[in-house]
Amino acid sequence: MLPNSFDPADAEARLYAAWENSGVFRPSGEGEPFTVVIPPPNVTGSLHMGHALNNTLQDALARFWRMRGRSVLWQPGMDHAGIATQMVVERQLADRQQKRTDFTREEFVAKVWEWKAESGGMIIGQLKRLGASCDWSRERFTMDEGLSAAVRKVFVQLYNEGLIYRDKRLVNWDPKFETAISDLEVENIEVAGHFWHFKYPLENGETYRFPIAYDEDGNPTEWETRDYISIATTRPETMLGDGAVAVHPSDKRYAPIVGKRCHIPVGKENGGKGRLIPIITDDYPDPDFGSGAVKITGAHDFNDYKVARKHSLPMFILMDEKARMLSDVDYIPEGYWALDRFAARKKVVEEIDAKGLMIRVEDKKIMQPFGDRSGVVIEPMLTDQWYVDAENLAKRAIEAVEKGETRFVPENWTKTYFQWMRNIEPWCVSRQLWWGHQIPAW
Amino acid sequence: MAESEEEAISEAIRRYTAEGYSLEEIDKMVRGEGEGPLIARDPDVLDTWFSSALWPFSTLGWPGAEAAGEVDHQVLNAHYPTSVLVTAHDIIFFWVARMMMMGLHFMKEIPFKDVYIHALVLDEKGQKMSKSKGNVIDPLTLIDKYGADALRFTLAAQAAQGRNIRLSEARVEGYRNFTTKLWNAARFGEMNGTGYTEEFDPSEAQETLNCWIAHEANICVAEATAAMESYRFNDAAGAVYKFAWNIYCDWYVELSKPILMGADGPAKDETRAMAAWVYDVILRLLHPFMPFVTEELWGGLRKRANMLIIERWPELDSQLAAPAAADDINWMIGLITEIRSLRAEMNVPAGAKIPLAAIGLADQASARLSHSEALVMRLARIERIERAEAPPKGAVQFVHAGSSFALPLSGFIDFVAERARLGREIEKAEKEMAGLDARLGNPSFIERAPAEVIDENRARRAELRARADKLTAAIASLVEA
Repeated sequence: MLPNSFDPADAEARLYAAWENSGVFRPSGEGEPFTVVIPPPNVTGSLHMGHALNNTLQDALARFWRMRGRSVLWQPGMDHAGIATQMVVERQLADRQQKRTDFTREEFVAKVWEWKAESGGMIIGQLKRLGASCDWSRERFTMDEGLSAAVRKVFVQLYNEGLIYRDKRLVNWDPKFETAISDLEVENIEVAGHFWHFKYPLENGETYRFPIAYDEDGNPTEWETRDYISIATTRPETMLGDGAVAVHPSDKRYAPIVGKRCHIPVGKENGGKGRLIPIITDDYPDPDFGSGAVKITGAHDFNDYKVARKHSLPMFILMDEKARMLSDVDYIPEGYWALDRFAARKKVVEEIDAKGLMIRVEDKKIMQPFGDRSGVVIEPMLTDQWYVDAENLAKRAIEAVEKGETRFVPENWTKTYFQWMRNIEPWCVSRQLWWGHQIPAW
Repeated sequence: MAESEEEAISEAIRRYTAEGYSLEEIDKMVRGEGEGPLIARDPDVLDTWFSSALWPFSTLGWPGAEAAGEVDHQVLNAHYPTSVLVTAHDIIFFWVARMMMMGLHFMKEIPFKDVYIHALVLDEKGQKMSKSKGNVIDPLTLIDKYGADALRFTLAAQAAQGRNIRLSEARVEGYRNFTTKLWNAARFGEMNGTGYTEEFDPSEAQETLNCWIAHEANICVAEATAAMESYRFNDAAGAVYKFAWNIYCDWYVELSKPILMGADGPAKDETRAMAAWVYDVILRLLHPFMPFVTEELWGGLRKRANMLIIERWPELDSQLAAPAAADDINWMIGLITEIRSLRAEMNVPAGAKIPLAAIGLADQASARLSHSEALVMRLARIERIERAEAPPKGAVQFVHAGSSFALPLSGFIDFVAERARLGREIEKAEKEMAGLDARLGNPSFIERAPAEVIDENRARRAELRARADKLTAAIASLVEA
């Protein structure tokens, strides 16, 4: 006879053990294979509701097809989660007043493995509680020997095929962890900031007529004479790295000065007038936004980087790994050397204000990129990294979905996939961390 | 560039030799005494997504398993490409796209045939869960409180394609109650000696009731199978839930009581077998969503050859189709449901046994009523059934499947007071509707209010409309005493 009621606490553990011990989670070997690889949870992870949904659905499929007579393999495993794991262990060290750099790389990595053995992989037990019928006898880890060998083989082969190469490009730089990070690890948050409007004086005191009033048809009716171009920025500290000022080719207001040069209003060059940069045209500036003219700082802004590459503008790297202003470079005045970027911002504003070249400051909500784990402001930085030629690899991947070899359900995600794949950028694959697959380049 | 340090050293020696270094000089470098170290490794590591991109084949043993005779050789051959990847949309680019690229480049084949993209789990109000909002619901807390099956069912039942899931604890509790309902139905079966042998063939059933439940079970199998095959998890879960709770527990169990508790004989034997057979179908269909309680019931009910997890999913069986029996029973269920809802609408005391008048029934309806009289009387609390040519005075009239019926309620309710009460209820509903209409018609509300609030208002509006219509129909059915 059945007991009066169902007691999940007692039954779940008992039934799960019975399933697992009887080997039914392993593929039966009979019938057509049905295979699912689990999205590997982070070794640092703990089961959240997203995991619960994701794994409930996978398990429902695995159980359904198993009952339909298929040879089901639900392949489980975990991800080594580079930054997340390194951070957990570093935090543990910090509790003991130690830091990563107190140790050699080998010692630190050994500590990470120790941590994994002791407290990593909690989520596996939690997936079992959910009832996940994975073949645990095949559990893998992205840093285990086999998977590491796979990584090395792939890297070396792609390199030999010319599909992995070294390049200097702009990356998201996390100044706290001192590494490049991926877009996914960047969180854009709206914060209260400022929009500083500055005068960039024209070379040799040149002047032009700038319209300040218009009639109903949009034709200028009043002008003033200017000896500068008005530029607004949320990040004055990057001005020392400006390579040009850009205006839209259709913007008639600036037509008289296109091709001429102006001074960056900060810096010691030209007797304190500042370095001279060209005024160029590009489709990037929006004539209706701000003054319609923008500064181009190729080494510290993603949009500017594209413009700078297109026009072969010089790119001035302004900061070090910790996002402090560089020392001993001629395009940064000595007073800025080694300053934190936010202190540098204040100093730039003061310097320009003192020269009387500040027009006004506007309070403004700005979207600012933060490292999702470090919590610090991400700095776009021009660095040497390893890149995968994603554009090349994407061709076949696009074709496979076009031909219906792989199908998205619901179908509307196909569009998202194509959109990304057809605009794919080189994939930056190197990270300046200690925990992970060390690049097999000697 | 090398797959191992040894390889890198040999490569370095080869290169230095080619450059004209002597063996002695190279030897010094190896010992760290020369111009510099022989080799130095790039200190950087790879993006975590690099190894994830290889996941569908590296976990199956690649590259080692490519060689015949290696442990995983068969596994890699049999299980790549994989069948389906189940993931969320935020990593289509970071993960799905890169697995596609790497899989196609190294395996020369796609890594998966289908990519099922599921939605997000939001809180009850449709807000994203976040620590800062303090609305995070911990799945393990819910598992501790209601069991894993209840949580799983809640998620699956709401996993409609392209729609986010709103998770409320009340729903999880509701599905926990579903497991209790199932459990109680199993105990009812046990207490009534239900069971079947291998010889039992449900398509041979004679009793209309049994033909009906086998027919309905077969429909549910068809729906659940088609839904699972096309990743419509909510439809699959919904079909099984409706069949298990509404059809089997609510109706079949009730309708079979007179037979199970009645005299021994072939009807009772058949019903005992059918009740158990259909119950097993339910367990099989529910197993993918509620593995624990179904496995426990499977093993707890009787001795089995296999655990449920490796039992076969029910096959669709055209022999089980019994449309005539289904029509008969569903007609009766409809009649009972109609009477029950009118009783509630008209405030008839729950315990009161009332008369039912069947007015000028056609032959088929008349036969159906005759066959189901006893059950209708018991389940709708009817005192007696009268056949009449015209509706009696002081009765509530209704039409069921084209046939007219009436409930002569004088003496049970005060018609004047009841009509007044219904009128007030309608007024109340209409007043609230007018308020909602004003709000929903206000462009600035529509523009500014969060989508979930607008949805709630619209749903409430629809609810009130349905209620007002029902009340209006109830007033119309009150024939003057």
